[in-house]
Amino acid sequence: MKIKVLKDVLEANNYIARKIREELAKRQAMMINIIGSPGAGKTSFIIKTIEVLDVKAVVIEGDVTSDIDSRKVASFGIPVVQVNTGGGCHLNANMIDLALKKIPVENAVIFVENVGNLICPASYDIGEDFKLAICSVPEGHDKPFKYPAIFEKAGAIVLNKVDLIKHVDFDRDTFYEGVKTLNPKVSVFEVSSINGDGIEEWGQWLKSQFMEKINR
Amino acid sequence: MHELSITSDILDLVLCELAKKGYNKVIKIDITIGDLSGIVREHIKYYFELLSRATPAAGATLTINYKKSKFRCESCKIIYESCDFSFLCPVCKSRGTLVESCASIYINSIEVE
Repeated sequence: MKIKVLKDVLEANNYIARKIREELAKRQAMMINIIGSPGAGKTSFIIKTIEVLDVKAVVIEGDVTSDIDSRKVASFGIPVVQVNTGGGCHLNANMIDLALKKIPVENAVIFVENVGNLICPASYDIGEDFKLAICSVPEGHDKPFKYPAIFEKAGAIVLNKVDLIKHVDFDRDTFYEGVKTLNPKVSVFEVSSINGDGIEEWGQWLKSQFMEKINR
Repeated sequence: MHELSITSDILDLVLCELAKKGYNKVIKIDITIGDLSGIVREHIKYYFELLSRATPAAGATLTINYKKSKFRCESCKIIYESCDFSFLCPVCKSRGTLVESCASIYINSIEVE
């Protein structure tokens, strides 16, 4: 006998994600799911952003193992929760649900640093307000073509380490061609977490998104 | 890379449907995967064989359909699917824009007895 199912395989995850989104709206918090390769500069970018943000901020650090990044974040006096996946290649909504119980997030911007990986985290809704794709110029201009899912789903894109652009083979036109094909309206921010270029502009954009949400 | 957890979710959903309908064995599972899901179908088949052992879905045939996203050419306006890993229009080679994203993984139907 044939039975019609017509169900999204990720429905169990998506159900928890919807609950998180509702809860964060009540608590007037905004959550950003930051997705990039290992070494894209996610942790430094988060710290630099919080330095200019002028809004309460907390961090959820996702890694397969270790607490290296969360110790670095904590050393700046930023509240942080570590989530270790123990081998898993992405954070899911259940992990975030548990992490959110460990930290006060009222009126805060929550930065979730996902496991360093451009593929798997793109598939999982964790209840975020938007996904942020971050890549850096030494990784090459071909990232949108090789990992289209995250560039298509991103609510914002950050191109990090632009201070290195004259030292590496990075073609802006090719990069933007890929981005605009997949996600024509997305905002792209070119930044350097080392010298601070572009961080102020990105921080202002983020703050405006946050204010818009809590004043809605 | 996340095919193991995806396959585990597929198996959970299938066994849940089987129990709800009161049948004993899964014969066939029909799935659709979007090209932007980042899923490798061979890995799903491999993990399914491992995870379904000693369950009522053991030995079931897994049919995986592949759905491709669609782009609209900015120049000649045709709708096309990406081919040979290029996002460019296959006719005039201009840049296109994504108009239909296929990033989901769905179970369409199961056959049971």
